[in-house]
Amino acid sequence: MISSSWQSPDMQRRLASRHSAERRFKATGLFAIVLSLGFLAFLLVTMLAKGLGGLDLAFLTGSDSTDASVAGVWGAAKGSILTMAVTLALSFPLGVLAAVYLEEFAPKGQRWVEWVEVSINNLAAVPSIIFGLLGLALFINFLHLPRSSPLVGGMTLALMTMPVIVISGRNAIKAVPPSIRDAALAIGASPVQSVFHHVLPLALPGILTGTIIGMARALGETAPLLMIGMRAFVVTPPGGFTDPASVMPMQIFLWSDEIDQGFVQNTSAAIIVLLVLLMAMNGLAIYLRNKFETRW
Amino acid sequence: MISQFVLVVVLGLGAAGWFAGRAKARLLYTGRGSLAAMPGYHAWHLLLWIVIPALLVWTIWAGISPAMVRDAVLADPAAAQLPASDFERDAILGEARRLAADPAAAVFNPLAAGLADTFRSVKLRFDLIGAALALLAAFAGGAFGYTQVRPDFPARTRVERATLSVLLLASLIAVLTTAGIVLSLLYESGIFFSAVSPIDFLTGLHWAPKTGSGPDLGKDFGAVPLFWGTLFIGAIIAMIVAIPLGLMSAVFLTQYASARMRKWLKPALEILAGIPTVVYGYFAALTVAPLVRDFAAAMGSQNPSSESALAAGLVMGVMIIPFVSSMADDSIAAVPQAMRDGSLAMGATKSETIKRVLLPAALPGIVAGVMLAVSRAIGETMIVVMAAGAAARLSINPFDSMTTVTYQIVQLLTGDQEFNSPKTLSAFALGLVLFVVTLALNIVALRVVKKYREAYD
Repeated sequence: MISSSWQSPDMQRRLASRHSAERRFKATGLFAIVLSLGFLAFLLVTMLAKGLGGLDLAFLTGSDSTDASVAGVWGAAKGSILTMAVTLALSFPLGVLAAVYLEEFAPKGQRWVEWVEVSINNLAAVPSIIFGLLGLALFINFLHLPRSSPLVGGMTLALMTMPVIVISGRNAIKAVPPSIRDAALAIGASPVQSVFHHVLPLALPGILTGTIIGMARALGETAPLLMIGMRAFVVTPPGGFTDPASVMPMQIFLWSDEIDQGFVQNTSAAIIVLLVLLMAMNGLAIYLRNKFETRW
Repeated sequence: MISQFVLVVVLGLGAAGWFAGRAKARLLYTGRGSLAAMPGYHAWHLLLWIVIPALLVWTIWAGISPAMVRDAVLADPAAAQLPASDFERDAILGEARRLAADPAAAVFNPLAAGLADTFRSVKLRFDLIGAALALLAAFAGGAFGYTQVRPDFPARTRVERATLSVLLLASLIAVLTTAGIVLSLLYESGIFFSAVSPIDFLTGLHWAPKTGSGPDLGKDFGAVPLFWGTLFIGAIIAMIVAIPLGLMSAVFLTQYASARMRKWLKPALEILAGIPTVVYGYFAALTVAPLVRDFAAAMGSQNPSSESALAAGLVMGVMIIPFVSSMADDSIAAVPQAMRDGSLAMGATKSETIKRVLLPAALPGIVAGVMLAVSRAIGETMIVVMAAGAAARLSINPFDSMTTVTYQIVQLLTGDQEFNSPKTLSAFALGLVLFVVTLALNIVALRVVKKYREAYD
């Protein structure tokens, strides 16, 4: 009786429809991911098609110009390098030290320590344009630092990047097993020595990975720099940290506003340069993670 | 110039002190246990005693010397013919100061040109006094530190205590940044709200900010169309794209894809999150917006705008996909294996298990992920700046051009406006609203995630 009910046409239909629902569901999932990646491919191919023709040595070494055919990306790239140097110099040491303190030395359960942790987690999710407003109000209107300079841009981006470094740094430090600390303490090292001589070197690859990812994000950031006026028309590359400068994403934004058709090619070419840089940075981060990742 | 010089000299002295301290400590070392700290710690202790007092003195001097320079310049006979009114006098002095720092600076007042030389010499005199004081502090500190290099001196504890206070200061930066954001937004919006009532701002339906003042000002600062545009683009259109695609990608990646497929597809999807927003914005304006416009025209719309909420929202949704996907991925992975096994053991197919068991169980985590995604979408700037348009309009037609909070902040604060008009300051009020909303979304979402994790642990 039972076996015949399994073989009844009714049951067969039911099973078939359940199996086809299964296949449909799987296909929908695949479709979703293919659609997302298809959009990515569409974006990259569009940029390559429009920009590849504009990539030559003159473009890579030139600076901004009103004439699309002589405009180049080096002026903005140098601005980016200077800005990133300021960002790295500020956010890396501060971020690592804060991560070490919070993970290793902060008294547990104190009210103010909780405040620090909550504000770090929230800062990591604050929209970047808010950091631009802070930079404008604090660095330019209050401290009167030079507008549109890599110094102010770098400081603004450092405030934005620091929480990212703190969070990844804490995870990396947390991943170092306690036995390392115990061993150091057992042979007479002080807590500070055990952290700086043993834990931190072991956590460094993880911290570096997080730092590179944070820097890559800062390198692609435009909105906060728009707020502090880093949209100078730079015909010669900036010479120092206080000169007016532009950065690469800003150059893309400024060129995208130009009416002259020649700038479409320039914009796409600059996007290619920026994306290549970002992918190189992310690739480096992945390489570091794979090479130095330790399974304890 | 002088401050760089002071810095270099102080650091040089510090380095010299480091070697001197280490040499002295090494001489004191007579065998195991004869020194309370390793020579290296004595060296660092001495270095700190040289560098910190000197830099402290120099910083304090940099804080108080401008006022002294100003008094000295005013006392100079060259300043005798300056106007008596404080305001004009300060303007001329400021100009003279800029001229003294940079001879190529523009001059508007002939009096300032005459004063520049006086200013420069007075400033040089005070800088030299400061430098001398700083060096004195370095030597005094160094001398004291050098006498502390004794066998029984606990140099290591002192150096470690200094290290810990540096660590503490570094971790306080985050709190200071948050406080800085809150204070600067509150301060500037406070000035704005003294001219425009917050009620007009939060409930008004007309947005056409202009400079000037008067009782009617509030009528032009109604931000509701901006809030609507932000929500429509960031929380509706973008989420219609991102939630199904992100969720289904996560389901496919966690439940169906083989390990090898997952290894390639997941990083590929994450590239979407790594592309700078300005690139998305350019792509939206250059490629997607014309497609949307042509589509609107084909649908029979009259004069479709080339900037549309739909183009910006679509691209923003794509940007958010990996974000939603990874949040959903985490929540699905957090569902206990026993629930999945139970469902499969009852004869449910894989898709039935996902739809009836896994997704409902993971729902709180997914909702929290969507909230975080919304908070990211409404704070997104470059895509809307480049593709959404400037017209503040209350409309539910996705083909209309619409503006957002972030677009208006950029619009109001770029260009050369006078800084203290209500028009410019309204940007800070918009920033405050954005900050409060994203903060609330984040806090609620993080709390939901935490609670949900606890439920299954």
